[in-house]
Amino acid sequence: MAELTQFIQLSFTGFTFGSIYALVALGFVLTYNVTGILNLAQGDFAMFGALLAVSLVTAGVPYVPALLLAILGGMLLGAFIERVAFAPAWGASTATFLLITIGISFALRGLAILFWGTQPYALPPITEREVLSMGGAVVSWQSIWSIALSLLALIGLYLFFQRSYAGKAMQACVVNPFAARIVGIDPKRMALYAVMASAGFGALSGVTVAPISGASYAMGLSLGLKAFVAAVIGGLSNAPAAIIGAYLLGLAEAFTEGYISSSYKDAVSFLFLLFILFFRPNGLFAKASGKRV
Amino acid sequence: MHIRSLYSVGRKTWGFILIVIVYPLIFQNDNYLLSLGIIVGLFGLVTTGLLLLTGYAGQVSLGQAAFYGIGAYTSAYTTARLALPPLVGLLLGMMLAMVAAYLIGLAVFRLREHYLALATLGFGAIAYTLFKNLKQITGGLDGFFGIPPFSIFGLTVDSDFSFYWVVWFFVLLGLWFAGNVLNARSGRALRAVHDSEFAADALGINVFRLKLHVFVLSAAYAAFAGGLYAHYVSFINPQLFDVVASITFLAMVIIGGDRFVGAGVLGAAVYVSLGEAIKSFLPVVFPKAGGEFELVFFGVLIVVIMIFLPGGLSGLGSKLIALKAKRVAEEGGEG
Amino acid sequence: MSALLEVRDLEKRFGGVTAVTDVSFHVDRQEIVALIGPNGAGKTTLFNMISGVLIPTKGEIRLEGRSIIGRRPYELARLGLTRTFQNLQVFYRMTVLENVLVGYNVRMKSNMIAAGLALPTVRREENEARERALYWLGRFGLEKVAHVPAGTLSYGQLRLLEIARSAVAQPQLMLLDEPMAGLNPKETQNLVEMMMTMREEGMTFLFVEHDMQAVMHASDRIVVLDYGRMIAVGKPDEIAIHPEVIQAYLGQAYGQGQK
Repeated sequence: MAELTQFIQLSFTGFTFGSIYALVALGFVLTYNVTGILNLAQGDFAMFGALLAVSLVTAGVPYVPALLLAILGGMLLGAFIERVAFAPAWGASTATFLLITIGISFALRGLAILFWGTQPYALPPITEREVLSMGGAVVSWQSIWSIALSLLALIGLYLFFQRSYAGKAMQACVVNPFAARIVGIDPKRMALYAVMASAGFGALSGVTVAPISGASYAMGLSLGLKAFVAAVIGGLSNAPAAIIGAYLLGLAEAFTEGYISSSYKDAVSFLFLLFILFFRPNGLFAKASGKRV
Repeated sequence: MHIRSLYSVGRKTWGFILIVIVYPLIFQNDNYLLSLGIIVGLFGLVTTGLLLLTGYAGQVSLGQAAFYGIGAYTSAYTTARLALPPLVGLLLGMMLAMVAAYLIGLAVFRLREHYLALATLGFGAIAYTLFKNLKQITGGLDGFFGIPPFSIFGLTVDSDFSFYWVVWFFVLLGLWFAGNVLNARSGRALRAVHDSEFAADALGINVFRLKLHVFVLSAAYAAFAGGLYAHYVSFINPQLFDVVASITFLAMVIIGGDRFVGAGVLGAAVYVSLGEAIKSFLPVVFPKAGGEFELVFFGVLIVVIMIFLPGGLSGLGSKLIALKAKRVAEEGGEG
Repeated sequence: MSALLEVRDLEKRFGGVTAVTDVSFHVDRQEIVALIGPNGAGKTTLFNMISGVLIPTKGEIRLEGRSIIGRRPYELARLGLTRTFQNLQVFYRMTVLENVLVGYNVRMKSNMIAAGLALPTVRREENEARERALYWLGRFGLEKVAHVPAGTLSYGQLRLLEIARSAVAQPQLMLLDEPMAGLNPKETQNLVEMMMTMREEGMTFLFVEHDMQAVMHASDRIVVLDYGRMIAVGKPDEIAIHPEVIQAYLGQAYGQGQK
């Protein structure tokens, strides 16, 4: 029975972190699909959101508004980065953008140390109630919140793309920017919105995970990396697949940590990555295409 | 393009060599400056290899520090535990790194361009994990102590002054090799692939194999430098070889640019000097400041360079040329 | 005598769209064959199939009797088939000379290690390559700009550079993709003469072009495509009076120009 408990426990941890990764991955895939940029600084939006939330809460701002402000702050940061660093480089090569996002990541991390120092901070969880017991396993409410919020975000994004004009406009930009421009859609504006939204998702994931594992300047890097892996598992252009990838990753990490050893936890994600790159470069769910490129 | 031709060594090159030779002579009693020179040399080796890969072939690798680490740990283990001569360790480290690069490249270079970045990221993370966890071999997070100093043919090199010469001998050798490659068939092929893979392919260049070879070569450079590094510092730990280190190497290449073969060394020199300058001057202005300023500074510098000066510090004209050419081509014909 | 290039029953479908169908023709050695047709006729697709960029869904392509379907462009280059690009894929950041040298890569053997160690064989090969490259630059009138970055050249010069780059390796068959696009009449004339001179020396050309005067003047034979099908193949004067061709588009452009 203890095994079952442990299994449930680990599964929950896996789902929790999977949700976090899913949010970041979603932002990553959104940015990539609308702008073609692989944003290696995606995880740093989470870091920024988390730390900003901590500051706001410490300054006395009520909890929920603080979270919302932190997310808003993240979006503004995204907008700033898009205008200042992405837009001027319009048309540059993939490698150039990759390096630009690396530079941004550096700078953001440095700024974080500047304002918040290197020590980790604690953010109170969304609901203070202790824990939930499920089949003997102990699950924190924050975990449930993470999962719930992620799912909400996903559904929201889906509805946005399928039902709203702005969403369709964004899709149009991905499919055919030229035609989109003819119809009056501005791909550059869409790029801005996409990056802002991605940053918002990132910040949301940051404030959600901070109560569980703390907030510090370094959290962005590992979150960002896990998000890529999830996105690559999903084939980079497929948001639902990326989300599934994120959950797979979260579960794999949790089980590795629980059953094997925590020191190998980080390697799991990258083993996944290499496996996908070597055997299924178009993602786990892609049909093999016969095109040669 | 001011690539040094195969047959003549220009004045700039002699000037550079002169500086390399004179530097330690002037500062031979200043261990701090000597050690800076050594570090610039070691980093310069890594960046020269990376320059061929990223600057010339246009492939982004986020895992050079992993190769650097493989070289370092191999040298450490073979000399400290197996009591083999350092040259053996260096060569062994190089070979291990090259095999790893070859395997990665085999899988990755058939895919779209950004997959190398992700794959090397993954490889770097896995290597880091192995460095941390294979405690028997690497000492784990506690690090590897007691790496003997570099020795060659029985002569031990244990002063900074003499080690400087050793390092820079290899740096110049590495630069000579790289320059030769760039001036010949493969080097032109590299640059051609960077400018237009389509045309290179149509002209008979096996792009896949080319990328593979240059990736393996860059791993060799990094591993060799790592081995030397291990002998220099006598103590290494996994943190030295993490993804931040890889990105740092990349930053050096970006800063240096790609206009001539020594641009990687230039980037390393600028990075190290700027870093030191920031460390010394900043506390004057901001008493509580620390490494974060460096991060911010270099981060912003990278972004600025990538947007406005993709040729790095070593060249300002080429982006303008490329822009003009594209405009000419666009205005010329509709077809 | 078997043809140098033989295309038979070639077809290319993209999903539900048939870009090219039922195309068959051949190109003999030292022939200059033009591929013409209205926009959207499938010329580019056909061209891309022959040059290895696309794989046909049906049919055969043979070079010197051997099938080349499935061969990648770089393999074709090694077999003696090169191409130029309509949208100019020049190596802008390399010098003019280096561009042409890259063209000669396929005939050179030294690998990276040998080059790095500056072995004597490399030196010899490099010298030989330089000579050839300069020779070809001279033939196209580009020797004076040999050492400037290619990106600074004029449009007309860039077109010539691309051709010189393909020619230096002495291919058997040169595929030219709209080589005259954007050239003024004098430049076009020069290019046509150059092609004919090279033909005398043993070169074979297959080119796509819209410039009807040039096509009529330069070609031995013309293949005409319309809506993915081959509607005519023959000598220029046959094509000029071919009713279907005239109907397709030739009448307007050529008829007015010639008479």
